[in-house]
Amino acid sequence: MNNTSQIVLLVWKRHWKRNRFLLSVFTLALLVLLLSSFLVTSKAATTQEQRKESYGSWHLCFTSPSEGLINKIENHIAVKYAGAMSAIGEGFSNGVPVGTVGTVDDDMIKIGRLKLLAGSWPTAEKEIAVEEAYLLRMGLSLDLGQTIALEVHVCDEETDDIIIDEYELVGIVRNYSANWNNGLLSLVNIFVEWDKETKSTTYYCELYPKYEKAIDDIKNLSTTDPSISVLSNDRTYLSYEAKEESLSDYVVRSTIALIEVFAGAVVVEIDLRNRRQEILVLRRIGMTKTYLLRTYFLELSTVLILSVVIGNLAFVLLVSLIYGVCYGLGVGKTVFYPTLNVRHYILASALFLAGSVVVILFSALRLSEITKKTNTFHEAKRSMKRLRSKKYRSILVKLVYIRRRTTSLIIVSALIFCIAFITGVRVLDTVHELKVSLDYYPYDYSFGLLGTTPYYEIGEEKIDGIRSAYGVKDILVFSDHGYRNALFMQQDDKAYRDMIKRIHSYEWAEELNSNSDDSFVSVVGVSSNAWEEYENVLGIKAPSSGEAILYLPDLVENERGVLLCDDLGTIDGSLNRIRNHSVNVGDKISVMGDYGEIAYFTVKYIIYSQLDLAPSWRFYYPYVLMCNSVDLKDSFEERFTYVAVYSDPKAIGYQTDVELSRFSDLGMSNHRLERKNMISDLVSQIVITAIIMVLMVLLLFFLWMGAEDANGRKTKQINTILWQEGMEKERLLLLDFLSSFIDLMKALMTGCLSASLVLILRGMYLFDYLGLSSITKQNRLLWAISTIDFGEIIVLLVLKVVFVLCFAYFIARYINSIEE
Amino acid sequence: MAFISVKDMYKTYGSEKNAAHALNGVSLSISMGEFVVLIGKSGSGKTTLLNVISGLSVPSSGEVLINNTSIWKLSDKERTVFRRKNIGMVYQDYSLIPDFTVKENIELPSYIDNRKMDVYLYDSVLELLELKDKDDKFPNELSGGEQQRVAFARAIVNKTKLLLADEPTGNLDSVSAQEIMNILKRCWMEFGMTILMVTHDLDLAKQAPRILTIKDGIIEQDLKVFELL
Ligand SMILES: Nc1ncnc2c1ncn2[C@@H]1O[C@H](COP(=O)(O)OP(=O)(O)OP(=O)(O)O)[C@@H](O)[C@H]1O
Ligand SMILES: [Mg+2]
Repeated sequence: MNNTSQIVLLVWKRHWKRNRFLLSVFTLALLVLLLSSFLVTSKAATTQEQRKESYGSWHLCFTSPSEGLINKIENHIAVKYAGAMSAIGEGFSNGVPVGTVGTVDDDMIKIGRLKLLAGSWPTAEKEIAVEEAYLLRMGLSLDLGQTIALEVHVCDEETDDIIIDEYELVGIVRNYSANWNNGLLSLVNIFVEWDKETKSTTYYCELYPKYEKAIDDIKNLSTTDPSISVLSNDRTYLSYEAKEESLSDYVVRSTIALIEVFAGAVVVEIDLRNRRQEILVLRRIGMTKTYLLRTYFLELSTVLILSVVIGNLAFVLLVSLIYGVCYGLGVGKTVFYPTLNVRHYILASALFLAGSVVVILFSALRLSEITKKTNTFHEAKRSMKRLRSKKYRSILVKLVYIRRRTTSLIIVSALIFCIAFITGVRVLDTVHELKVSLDYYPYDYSFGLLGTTPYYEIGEEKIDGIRSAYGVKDILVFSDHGYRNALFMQQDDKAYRDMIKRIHSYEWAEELNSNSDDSFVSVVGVSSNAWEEYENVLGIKAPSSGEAILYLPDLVENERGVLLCDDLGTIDGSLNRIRNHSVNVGDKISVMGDYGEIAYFTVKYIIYSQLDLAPSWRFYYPYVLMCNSVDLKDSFEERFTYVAVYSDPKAIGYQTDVELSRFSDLGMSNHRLERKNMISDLVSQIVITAIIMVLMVLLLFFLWMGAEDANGRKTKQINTILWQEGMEKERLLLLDFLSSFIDLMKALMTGCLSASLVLILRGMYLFDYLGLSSITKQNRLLWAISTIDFGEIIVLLVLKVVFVLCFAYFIARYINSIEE
Repeated sequence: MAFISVKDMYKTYGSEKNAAHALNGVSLSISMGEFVVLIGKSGSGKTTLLNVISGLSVPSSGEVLINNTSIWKLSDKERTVFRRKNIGMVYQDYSLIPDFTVKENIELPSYIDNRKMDVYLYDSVLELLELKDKDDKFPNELSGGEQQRVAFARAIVNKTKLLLADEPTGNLDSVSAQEIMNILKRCWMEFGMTILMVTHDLDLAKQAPRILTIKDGIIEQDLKVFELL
């Protein structure tokens, strides 16, 4: 053993306590870095799994491609699976439609994530496998082997084949079709073995991840045959966007890494200060500078290497523990899918090592600076000057002041608080999304695309179907019967009428006969059970037959001459406000029907606001006549209907999805599922935030403890003098508490202020200008700013202040010492 | 009536195995207005005795009465308050806070006691200790003797009854030490203070009217000045 290593060993032994602290900070920092990276990748992988689980994973599909095209597709290098799903026809049982009958091939089973709950896929004629929900809907049990009688109406334009037969149930398929938006595609519910040709085949492709960009290339294969439609995966139930590694993820990660390195720097600085006396003595007794540097560097390097080893070991241990727990308990990939990105892992470790080496090198430079200053008198003078300028301060303030920690420590804490603040805001953001979803779509499902052409006609039959579906508690129907010529029989209200015409003409110019002197009203029907809400909010009762409610909002003309409806009374009061219509309650209005006949209504109420009750924007245009929908059927053709469905909270949600998916041709939105996804998103967000925060707090704690250790002698000395001079121990504790608290508050304030600054800059689209738009878009922070109210921010801050209070108390307890 | 009375004082440091018996049954009494010097070899227990009397370190057994108050029967908080109202301490290492100016250091006890410092007393003590034009300096900018005078000023300005000094001249040359001694004598005479001082310096000790010697934690001799001479 040579001399140097002996000295290193000796110094190690002597410095064990100090190095233990260095070691724990380095190790913990590395662990935070690796673990947060691991959790982020795992979360992304979990989301991906959830998506695959729910929607299958296909990149594009072809409807009824030719043999040649199929060949081309199957042999394409980018295609992983190419599977077919063919619909044979509609199945009927006792004259009632019970689902689509068809076939799938093996690749399609993989692509669509089709799973059997029991039994097998049909392999012989007269064997069938049925989706669970469809089996239940037929009123059958889930027993395999039972015989099911079906008539299949084969879909073929030329023949009108009906095959009537009995089948043996060999498999039960897990519900899947409810998760697919099958707008134009027919999804098979009843699977059979079929060797004849089918007319309606859809060909699905899943690409290898690395070839995903080749999607256009494959799309182009079909250009030779224009009759083929190619659909991308946006046809799935909830639209999915391929999630790239987002820039903001990188920003968060590198910020964490930065904190880590900064923390390391602070710790090393503290360590250096601890050694100052020792270094000075060593220099005085003749140790050379290089020798000193070498021993110091060797010592810190061993600490660093040891911490990298321990940190990696701990990380691997933790990760394998997580893996073990996940697989041992059979936690599904959709709940948590631990995924270690080895590249990230190595990169993070290497980055950490590099950053730390830089820190150590830097501190070594500082070391030689210290040894130069053999005379501390100079420094004392400088600090005296600083203190003297603070002379006007009171003794208490000064006592707190001289206990101040290093600025950098405050900065590290500030950064941690900053991250905590932003993640807090992000969680609130998701909560808000949920709240908005509940506010705007308090119902669980809705039908009807708003304001689109061609008009959807939902019809009484379908509404009845929806109403009687499993799990449906209540439905509200709003029908829109378009713009109609109308005549106010009591008053000629030309000025106001022209104004309204102007408003309407912005949107529906072509529909309005502008030459006519008539007014135009949009006729809207509201189902009787929806009136309750109108009664609660606006205090109006449902109109009876022949009665109508007229909506006449205040009109406001803005600077550019655009007319606005001041529905919520929110428009600037200084603008010219128009409410001078002369329509009265009890007036009669005649409205032109579809077939030339005229319907008469008596105005029962005039309302000036619709609040948030109307599901369609068209309802917000003035002169809306709202009637009980029953009245309207005879004379007005229905143009568009919006149905809001409340489901029974006790019902099995998934089953209701399946039931209602029968009506997905009506443009169904599943708010229930959206919310469910949001909640699971929120939970995982909170869990990951919590884990990272706990580690951060630990790091923070170590940092402060370390600083206190370094500062300890001075604090102890001052505490002792104060105690000798008769200050009670409680007051000393209070003093220590106060100084820690003030420092932490400084950190908190700096952190929160810088976080707010980030948020505000984001709101100003600054990142867009800088080409960092993905930060803005990914987290919707602009949106978060506009929606999060001050109350929540204050709650967030109060929580943090409480945390700081507890933290300061612990620190005070730790540093509070007197030499008795 | 004794102003300070110590009875059967024992003080042992450490646990049983390697216990250090610093005080082995000390009893003494000091009257109001006395000037007493405590001398003895290094390690004989002088500092320990002083700290036990001032209420800074807990005795193993025995009683300390100061002005009829048994200080070790008080609660920790009560004792602290009693100390700051009645006892001034001066140490060998001056015990000044380096970040505070002279004035602030002197003001500190009255700040702790939540009262205003007696400005007249402050002025006259500073005059007496020749610190008049130094009161906005920091301890580092003063000589050792000056620093010790500040420590005295702090003790005198705030408590005029009892002054305990532990080797106040230990770090000083003989001229400065004599200056300090002169101050102590003036304090004793002008302010009527009761003073108990520890010193190694026999020349200084001889100037005091009463000398106690301590050896191995026991009071060996109690000499009045004329006896020593
Ligand atoms: N904190 C302590 N822990 C253990 N032993 C102690 C402690 N303080 C003092 N002692 C021991 O108690 C004995 C008396 O110490 P004390 O400090 O009272 O001596 P002293 O007379 O003031 O000496 P000096 O003249 O050197 O200041 C010594 O033997 C010392 O070793
Ligand atoms: Mg001593």
